[in-house]
Amino acid sequence: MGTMDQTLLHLVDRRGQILPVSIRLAVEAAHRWVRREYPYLDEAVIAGWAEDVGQAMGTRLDEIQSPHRYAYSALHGKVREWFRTSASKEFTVGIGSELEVWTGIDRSTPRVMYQTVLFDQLRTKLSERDRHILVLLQQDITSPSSVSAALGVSYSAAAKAIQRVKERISTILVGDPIEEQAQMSPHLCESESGG
Amino acid sequence: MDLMKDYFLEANPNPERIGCPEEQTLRALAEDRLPASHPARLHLASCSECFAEFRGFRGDWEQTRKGRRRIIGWAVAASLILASGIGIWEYQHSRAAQIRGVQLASTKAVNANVDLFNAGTVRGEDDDTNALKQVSLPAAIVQLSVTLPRFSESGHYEVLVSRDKSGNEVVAKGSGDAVVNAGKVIVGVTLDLRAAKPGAYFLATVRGSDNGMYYYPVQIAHGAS
Repeated sequence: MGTMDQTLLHLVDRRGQILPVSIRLAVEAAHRWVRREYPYLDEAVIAGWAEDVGQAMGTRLDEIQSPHRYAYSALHGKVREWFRTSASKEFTVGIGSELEVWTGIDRSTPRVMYQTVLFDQLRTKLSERDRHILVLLQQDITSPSSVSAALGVSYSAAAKAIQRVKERISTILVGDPIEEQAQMSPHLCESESGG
Repeated sequence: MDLMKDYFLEANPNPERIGCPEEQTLRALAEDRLPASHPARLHLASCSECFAEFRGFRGDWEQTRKGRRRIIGWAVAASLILASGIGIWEYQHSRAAQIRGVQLASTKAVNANVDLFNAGTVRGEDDDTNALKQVSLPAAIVQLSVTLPRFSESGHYEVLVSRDKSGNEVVAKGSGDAVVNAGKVIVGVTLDLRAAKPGAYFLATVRGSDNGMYYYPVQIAHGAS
């Protein structure tokens, strides 16, 4: 929460020359994004990566078509690389809090799933429509009316589809859907009947 | 950390950026400038790079909005404080003006007439005060014209207003020369009744060389507006 303090990046090329404005803006934007997205990562480490990315971009000025995209991809790549080698230092504390509440998971529940396994399951068990709905939810498009407009389906179909996605996520995360919840909410069982 | 966010950030690499929308489109998506039905929204489900860029734009936009909201909040608070200050100042100013107005009004003389021509007169401290019809004077500076009772003589008169008929609680006093006009003797005096509280008083007249005083009941009302 709160405002993120600005880290001053030293964005120069290999000869110590200040990078062009477009490169600096792109690296700074990517740097801000990584800091927001991965708050548990060391700020100094992220700043170092950003400066490395800037330096690398400085050597390829003519090749880079979109500094913004390059900076995001490069910095994101460094984050991924770090997770591959130092993943144990960061931990995942769960899915969105709403889903956690819905599935009955609290933050103290021990987790045995690894991200890669989980992502594989999400990839195989979720339909394309499910993924579309999830990505819309990630864009804060949460109402059935908006989802129906995005997917080109009726309101009721969108509402049901949203419900089913939640159920499937729940299934993936905790095995079978929580039976108690299914008993308490009979309409949740309709998930297999539709398209 | 949101697992689904991680999923979309990691699970769909598209390093060749195949089928990706323009940066400006992603920015517009992030800033909610495109409808929910825009096809680029669904593209984010299959491209981690675009999703990352979308998140970046979205975060920047939210930060900007938050900052703007904070500024607006401060501006509203400052406006309220300013408006309250102006309101208080205005109130005090208008109140002061009102008081000044009242003071000005109270320093302005008010004309009044008392006609005692047909009033019976009772001299001294008789209990039988004169029956005078609802004479009322304002609690102000009064330019009073008293038509004296029938058979009164002209000459110098004192006119006073007192709480009682013994003349101990005189609240205002004035004097003037009575003149005859159309068969009536009229005396004009100025009485300062500003200090008099509203209520029942006596109006007394006494001719200069005469020791006798004549009392007439009179009401003093609130000051002139």
